[in-house]
Amino acid sequence: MKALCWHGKKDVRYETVPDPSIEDAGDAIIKVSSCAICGSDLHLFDGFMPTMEAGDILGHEFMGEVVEVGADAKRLKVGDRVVVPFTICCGECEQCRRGNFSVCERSNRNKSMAEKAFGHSTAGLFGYSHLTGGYAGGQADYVRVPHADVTSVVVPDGLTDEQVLFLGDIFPTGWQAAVQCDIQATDTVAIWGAGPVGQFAVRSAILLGARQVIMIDRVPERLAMAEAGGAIAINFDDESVLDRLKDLTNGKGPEKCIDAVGLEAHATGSIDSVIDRAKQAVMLESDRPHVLREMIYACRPAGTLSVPGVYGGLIDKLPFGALMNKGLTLRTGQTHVNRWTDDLLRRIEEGQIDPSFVITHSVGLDAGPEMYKTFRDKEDGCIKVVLKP
Amino acid sequence: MMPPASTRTPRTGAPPRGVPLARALGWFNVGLGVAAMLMSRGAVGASGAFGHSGDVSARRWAGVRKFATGVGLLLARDPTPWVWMRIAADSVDLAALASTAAERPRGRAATCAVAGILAVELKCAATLMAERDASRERVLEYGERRGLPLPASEMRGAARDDFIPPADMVTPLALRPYGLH
Repeated sequence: MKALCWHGKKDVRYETVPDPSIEDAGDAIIKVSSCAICGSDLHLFDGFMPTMEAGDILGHEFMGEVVEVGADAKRLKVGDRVVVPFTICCGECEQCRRGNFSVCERSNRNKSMAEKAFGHSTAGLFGYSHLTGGYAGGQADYVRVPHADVTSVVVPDGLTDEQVLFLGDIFPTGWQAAVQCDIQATDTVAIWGAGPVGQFAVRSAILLGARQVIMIDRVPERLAMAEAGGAIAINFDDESVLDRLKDLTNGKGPEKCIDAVGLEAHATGSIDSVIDRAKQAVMLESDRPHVLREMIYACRPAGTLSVPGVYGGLIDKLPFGALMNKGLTLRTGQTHVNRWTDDLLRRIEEGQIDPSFVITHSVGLDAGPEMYKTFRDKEDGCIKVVLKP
Repeated sequence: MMPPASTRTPRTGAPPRGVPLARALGWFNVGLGVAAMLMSRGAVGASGAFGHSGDVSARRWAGVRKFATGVGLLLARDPTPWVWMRIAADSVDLAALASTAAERPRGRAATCAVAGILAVELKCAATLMAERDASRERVLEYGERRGLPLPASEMRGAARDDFIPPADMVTPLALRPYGLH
């Protein structure tokens, strides 16, 4: 079969690899009909995630048709149309029973590696380094899905791939980002990063009743899309984020802040960002936390910070004193996708939201290597890429 | 409800060329500027490669000018104004060189070289302008991608009626601000 494989920093190749097969009785094989490049895939592309190996198949946003199931797969059957969440979950461990699917205790088959890095193992993820299990990803013709009965979400035929594909990651991620803000009708929610997750966070915050939603970014078309969803745009190239946030909140700051950027912040105009880049270049820190710093500074005392943006390692000069003294609540985590999928699928079916709005590029899988660069560089108005195997 | 994206025109992913070309021109002008400042005497300077003036200090000044615009081309987020500055300066240089080409050693070659550079700069400016127009079109197009069936003002709070936030993700009642109890 064909797949997009990682071969090093900025080196993704479309190549022929062996077809997957059933390895465990709970597995299923999916014939991929649509997959996408996620913003967090760019951390792999740019070489910021450790434990990648040459030849690893990328991709954790995909959907398709079940073509084979293992002996223990009872719920799924051949022919089912499924979206596969990026977090692999067993459904039986203590964390899964609590709904904390992204920290499933069983699905990461490289548990000891994760324990060394994070203290405890987190869930296995598709196509996202050997630290998260080394599972082959879904930017391919076929993919093996472990714990398939629990992990997969069956979707109806009446909806297009483009409408349901993002149930596997970015839609629930934006939704959880807003949910864990505990939004009240009086709240202002400020969101950093108008990429795909940020776009869904805007719409989720609106649906959850935020009085005011503000988007902070520098890319005009991304800000335009956020405004279409109901946000007030702040272009940090043109104006001071902190001053504008104060203006919009009677000098008090937003009650809720969402970091939809993560470890590769591009605020080139700030001194801390320049220092972060220098430190990152000489391996004195792994992540660039400009957004976290700015959120802590901007957030109203007793407010909440929600962090769906991916961080991978160590950050420096985080103003924890401000966070503590302002009494801020910090909520983080990879998304517990399966906790939200039934509810969000219903909302799509009912027409409350159409996730396809975010797609800007739809191309064949063979164009994947070029699209990684286009997406990374935000060229040609690229916000979300869908690939068709 | 808006049509699914698959029914809209997909983009093809053609990468922009204007900015990379402008950056290349920036490095070229920085290099040329440094060379002009260091080698404005002698035959090379007299050829007109670093400016048409016969005066050494004027040629050095031309080098400073090239260096400064080169830095501008490299650092500006939108290099378009800097490209037009280069076009203006090189047009003046080209006119002066062409009128005196026969009087200089390698004057014709220098004239052809500046004409070539000017052509590249004009191509770069045209590309940048076209890309700016495309960006404006995208802003207009994306500005209509709501994802919601009605304007945000009418969708605000639509999920509150049938969504109960899970207890582990909300502030416990006892810890909420008094006014929100």
